[in-house]
Amino acid sequence: MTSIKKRLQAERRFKFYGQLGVFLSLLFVTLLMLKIFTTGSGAFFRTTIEADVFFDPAYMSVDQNSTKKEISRASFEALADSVVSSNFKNLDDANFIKVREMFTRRFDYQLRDHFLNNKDDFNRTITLDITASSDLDQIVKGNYPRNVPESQRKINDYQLSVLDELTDQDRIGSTFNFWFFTNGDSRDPETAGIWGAIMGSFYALMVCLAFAFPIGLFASVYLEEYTKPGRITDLIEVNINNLAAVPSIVFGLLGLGMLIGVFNMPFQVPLVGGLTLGFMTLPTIIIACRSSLRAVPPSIRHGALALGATKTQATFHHVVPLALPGTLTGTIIGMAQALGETAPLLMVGMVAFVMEIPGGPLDPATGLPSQIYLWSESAERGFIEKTSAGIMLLLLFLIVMNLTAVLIRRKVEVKW
Amino acid sequence: MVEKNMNYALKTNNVYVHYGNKMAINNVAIDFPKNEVTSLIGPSGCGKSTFLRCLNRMNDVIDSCKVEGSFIMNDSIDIYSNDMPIESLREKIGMVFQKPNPFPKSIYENVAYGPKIHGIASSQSELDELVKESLHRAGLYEEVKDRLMDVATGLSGGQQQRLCIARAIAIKPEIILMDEPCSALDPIATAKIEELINELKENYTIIIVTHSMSQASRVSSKTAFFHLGNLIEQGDTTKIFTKPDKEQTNDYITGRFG
Amino acid sequence: MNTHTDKNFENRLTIIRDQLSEMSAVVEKQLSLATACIKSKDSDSLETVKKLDLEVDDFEKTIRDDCFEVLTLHQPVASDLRLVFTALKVSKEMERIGDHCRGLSNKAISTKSNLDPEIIDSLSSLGSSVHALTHEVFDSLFKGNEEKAKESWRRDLEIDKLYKSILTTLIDKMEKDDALIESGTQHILIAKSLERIGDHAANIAEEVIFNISGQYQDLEKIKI
Repeated sequence: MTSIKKRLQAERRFKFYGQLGVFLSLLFVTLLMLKIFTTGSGAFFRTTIEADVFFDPAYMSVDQNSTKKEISRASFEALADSVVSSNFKNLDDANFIKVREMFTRRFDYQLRDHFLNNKDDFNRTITLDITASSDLDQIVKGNYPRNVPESQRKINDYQLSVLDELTDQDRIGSTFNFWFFTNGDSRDPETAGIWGAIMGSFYALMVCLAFAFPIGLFASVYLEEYTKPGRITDLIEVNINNLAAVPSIVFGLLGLGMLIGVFNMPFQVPLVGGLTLGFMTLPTIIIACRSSLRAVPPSIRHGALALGATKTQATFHHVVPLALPGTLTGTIIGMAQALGETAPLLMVGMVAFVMEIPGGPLDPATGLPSQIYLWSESAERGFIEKTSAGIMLLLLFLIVMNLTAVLIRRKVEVKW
Repeated sequence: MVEKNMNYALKTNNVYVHYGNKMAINNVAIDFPKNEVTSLIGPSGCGKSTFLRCLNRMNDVIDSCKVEGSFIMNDSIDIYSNDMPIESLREKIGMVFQKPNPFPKSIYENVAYGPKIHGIASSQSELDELVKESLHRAGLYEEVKDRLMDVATGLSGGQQQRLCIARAIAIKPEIILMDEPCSALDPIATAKIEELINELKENYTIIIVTHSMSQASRVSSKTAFFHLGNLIEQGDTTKIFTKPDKEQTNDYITGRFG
Repeated sequence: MNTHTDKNFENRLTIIRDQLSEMSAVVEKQLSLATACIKSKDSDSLETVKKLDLEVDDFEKTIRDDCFEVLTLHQPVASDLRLVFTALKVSKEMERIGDHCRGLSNKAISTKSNLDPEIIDSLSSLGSSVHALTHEVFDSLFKGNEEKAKESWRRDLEIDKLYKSILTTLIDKMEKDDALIESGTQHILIAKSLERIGDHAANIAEEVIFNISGQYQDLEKIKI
């Protein structure tokens, strides 16, 4: 009787430990998510200052008849200054600069973009929500403390007073920061966006996939189906397994030395970054593919051979399609890993400040995790929330990719 | 009762098979009468399946396996000659395995695969006809005619095995090898397959390996008894089950082995 | 010979074989007593023969039921099948021999014999021959001797000849003397029973040959 009691108690204890483990893990993950979310959510909104904008012909070098090209090339800086002085009367030079600093540095870009789409506003006054500078943005969001001595603040007392005045006038607003998703990197936190990094990672992953998947698939098929077991095959298998465990920076060195050094490929481009990631992902794909091939029962091969199929026909008509779900799952997981890697990209130069959105795999670019890293290193406070927002986005992509892998596996899974 | 027919679909002689150094088949010679069912019986590990696999060269898949001997089909074709491509051989000699192994594709695809790779049908409609005819011959058509595009692995065990038979006969072989085809099936499915074998022998020569002596006595007209790689006795099935020549044979079929 | 892996099966077959053997011993005893009755007219012998006949009938039923059970439950083949098949047929023949023994003893005791002692002697001698033949046949059955069985089958032909000559003699005697008709007829029937026993023994010999060789042979064409 007692032995049964002891066994049941042990059962209950074991169950409890399991539940405790799960609970703690969920707790830590939740806390992490909360921290990231609360820090990062700010990045999705930016502070604006409502201003009256008079498209004064006196300060403009183009008019409503100018072409898009001409408008794009024109400078709107003078107009920007005029807007500041017309909204804030009677400013001396020092204060003018202080007020101008409260607006985003590239205030003129915003005016130009508006004019490009609304040429008929020439010589008219409209109300625009101008993006505030990052420092102002941070003060409004409460990330900078207000009640410290001026020397310890980014915003000086005069600017604070203007801010309070504008707040009373209800001219301080907040708008959804879609620039985060459409812009490339920038020195100014308020206009910095992640699209450049996303495209950079996208091109790199496409190159990685195009390189690693076919080679991995055919190498696995050859190793699994065509080679006879022997010392050489064992040696190859051991080496491939080891490669999967090699630190990723070693692949970065390989990319640097071979692709850039020997083949003279350009520096800092997704093509090279993608190939480097491809080297890294290849062992993962081969291991996943081989294990899927092994899981196909020999009876399928025998059935095909007994019908008079050649070995190649049996392999590609029957075995490979059955091994595909497993291979795809392994590939997607490999891609997800590659997405999150910074070290190999570092060596080939894809961890750098790149402002332009890359148009293809041969344009200079940076990757998503690299971008996050760069922002985290920045001195500007405004980049803190951007870093967390970037992390949120990266996590989202990883979750989506892993979920896709699971769904594909479920959908194409075959019962023998 | 097998009449004295001189027509043999396959004659084998001096067959030796080794796995590395281990001998699996020791000097076996059997002749298989055309359009008859011959069964190979014997205890586990006696080599009957190994011998069967020699006949469509499936042993070639195993590296360590060495096959010697003469295998002559229709008194003219040497199965192991270099002039005979394996794929053509397997078009003439089909095989049905112990555990039903349909491809995880549709029923239609399973039956159509063989004809497709051998280029037997010259048009889609010809292929459709061939599939239909093969399923009919295998006694499966009525049960699946409305769901030819359903996946084959959804069928019951007995239906799957009949599908494998349909698949094998779709390429119009002369000889069908069956390696314990009913061992994974229930008695009713087994009875259906045995009845099918009875019908098939009109058009094909059938060689069946079986663990069940009652099956051998039910379906075959000639029986060969293997033990430890040796052929102990071969002959008319009725004779083997009434008064076999060798005491070993009698001991085996009456259950005195062990 | 090896034994069956299935001990239950092995037991059942052994029991059938043993029963058959015991039954043959009883039949032989019956036959010996019955043939003695021809001369001795001992009514105690008659009672014994009747009692033994009941035993023989029981044996036949038991063997029949045991064989049927083995066929149902074990589906025997080859040597086992031949054993069961033979046991069924032989036990039936033995049971018929037993019946004839009872019949002839009854007639031998109840008939007042006013026949010549010579005729009684030939009848008695016929009885001994039949007994010897039956003994030989049983021997060939349990020792598995095909040649001996073939010989026994031939011996029955001689017994048939002997019967015919006794028959002719008796008919002759009866034609010449009406008073001999009643006992003559009875003794013809006794002789007939003995001849039938010989036939049954020959049938058993045929079954023995089938049991050993697996085939029914056309014995008339075979020369020894």
